[in-house]
Amino acid sequence: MSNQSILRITRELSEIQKGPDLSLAVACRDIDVRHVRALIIGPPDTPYEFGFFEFAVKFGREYPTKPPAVTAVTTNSGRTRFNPNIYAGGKVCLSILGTWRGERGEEWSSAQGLESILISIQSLMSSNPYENEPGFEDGKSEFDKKNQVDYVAKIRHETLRVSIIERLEDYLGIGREKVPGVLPYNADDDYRENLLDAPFEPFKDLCKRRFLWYYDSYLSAIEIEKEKHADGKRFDRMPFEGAGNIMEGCFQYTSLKKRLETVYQKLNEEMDAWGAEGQVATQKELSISSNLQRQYEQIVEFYKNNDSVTLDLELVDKNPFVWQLVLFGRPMTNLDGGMFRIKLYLSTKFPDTLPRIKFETPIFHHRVSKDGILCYNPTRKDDLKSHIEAIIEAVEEESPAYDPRTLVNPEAAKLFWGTPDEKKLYNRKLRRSVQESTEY
Amino acid sequence: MKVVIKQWNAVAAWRWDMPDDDVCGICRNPYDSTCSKCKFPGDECPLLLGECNHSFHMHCIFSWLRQESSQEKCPMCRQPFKSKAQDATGEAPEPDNDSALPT
Repeated sequence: MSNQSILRITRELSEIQKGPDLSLAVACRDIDVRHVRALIIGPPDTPYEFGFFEFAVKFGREYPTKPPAVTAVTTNSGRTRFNPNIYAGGKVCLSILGTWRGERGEEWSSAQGLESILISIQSLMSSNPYENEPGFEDGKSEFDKKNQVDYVAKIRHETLRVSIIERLEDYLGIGREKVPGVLPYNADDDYRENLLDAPFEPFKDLCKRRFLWYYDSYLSAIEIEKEKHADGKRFDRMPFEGAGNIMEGCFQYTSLKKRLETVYQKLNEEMDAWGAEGQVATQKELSISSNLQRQYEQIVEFYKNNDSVTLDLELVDKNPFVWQLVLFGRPMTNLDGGMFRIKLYLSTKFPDTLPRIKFETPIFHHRVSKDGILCYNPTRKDDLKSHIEAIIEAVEEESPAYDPRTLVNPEAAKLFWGTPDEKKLYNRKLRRSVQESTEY
Repeated sequence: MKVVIKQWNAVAAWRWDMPDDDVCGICRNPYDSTCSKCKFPGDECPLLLGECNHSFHMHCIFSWLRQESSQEKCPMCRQPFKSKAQDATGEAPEPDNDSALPT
């Protein structure tokens, strides 16, 4: 293909994919670089918190001289306007996209790119989106103040309902006729899934993993909001919301909580089923099975000759799809004397589907959720040694950079990054869980 | 010991006098590489330094400035784009490394 912009798009995509930003993800089909899908994770401390917002980005032949066309995909099938500037019909009003009259210096230029667009969209998702609407920037009246609160309240509800719960329900086939149960690995299905007419769902595994990370946050948001908004109460309409471009509906936190719990349970069932699916794959001598077995053996060999970490790795029931990692706390650190049993569950679709990591030994740690889900980020997704290294690093790291997107244990994180006294309390609680780990 | 050089081949490399890891803000290719239309780096695909001290492949910045929407502004800082004194851009590439290989 002679077109010059392809090269630049490809480079931008790989830079975002390799970059450290946990709030953005991009993907495209191999044969079509011009049609990109982007996922923005809603920023913390906003009503969009940890929501999954998908956008379709279409690069024309004149890119980067002209901006790409961006359409919001997460719109509740065209029914919900998530932001004054993100319309129900998918239009994204942004001066750098040329879809909004911009101030000087805000228009598109060829030095802009995909990442700057996504960051601009992300900045629309603020803690007070009401003031994004022209004419409502500094609403000081009682009317505006009430609206600001009401607007945030309904966005939070729809973020949870549409962007998170319904997306995951779709992925898991909940509420539909076809309910996936324990499916044995089938090479034919796998092949068919790769065909073009299959739905393009590049963020399926990512959203599932993130859902598990942020589950405690979702749940506590629902608990708080449930008290404030009675079930069945209709959303208030904003003065700038017009026919067909609106966020309508009513609060239903009680049912949201149930649906959230169901999704969580399904995800756990899915993970539990991987072991059995793996055993079938092993019986059929599929290559994924020998691939995992080989990686396992190499990692064991590596750590046998490596004194810097003390760990014990074995397969559960000789199944290469379920690993048990016993990590011994490093001497002279908070983890000294601890012994943590961690399970790694692997899918037959690895590495498209990444492993799920679960602490079986309880630990009070800002990177480990109440249920033992670990938040970690491997550098090389297809290399299980890189996963093990990232797991160890996530657990051992003593002064990590603050990134609110890694907060999977709200209680522990609050103490960890809190006042000196709170930090002391964190350490005390961590030490206690370390001491108790050997008795578990 | 007496060595007689019978034949030698000179090898030279050149690069633009620019920071090593920098890329053109428009095509995102390294300065030492070409814009996305050209095949051969060097005089055929020169760099252009603006008065604002932002530089681009000449072809890249020209295709941007040709756009009406550019308002002839630098895509990085949005000041009016004017190329800096001629000698900064028209300069021939300088060899900065050569070696002789005896055969």
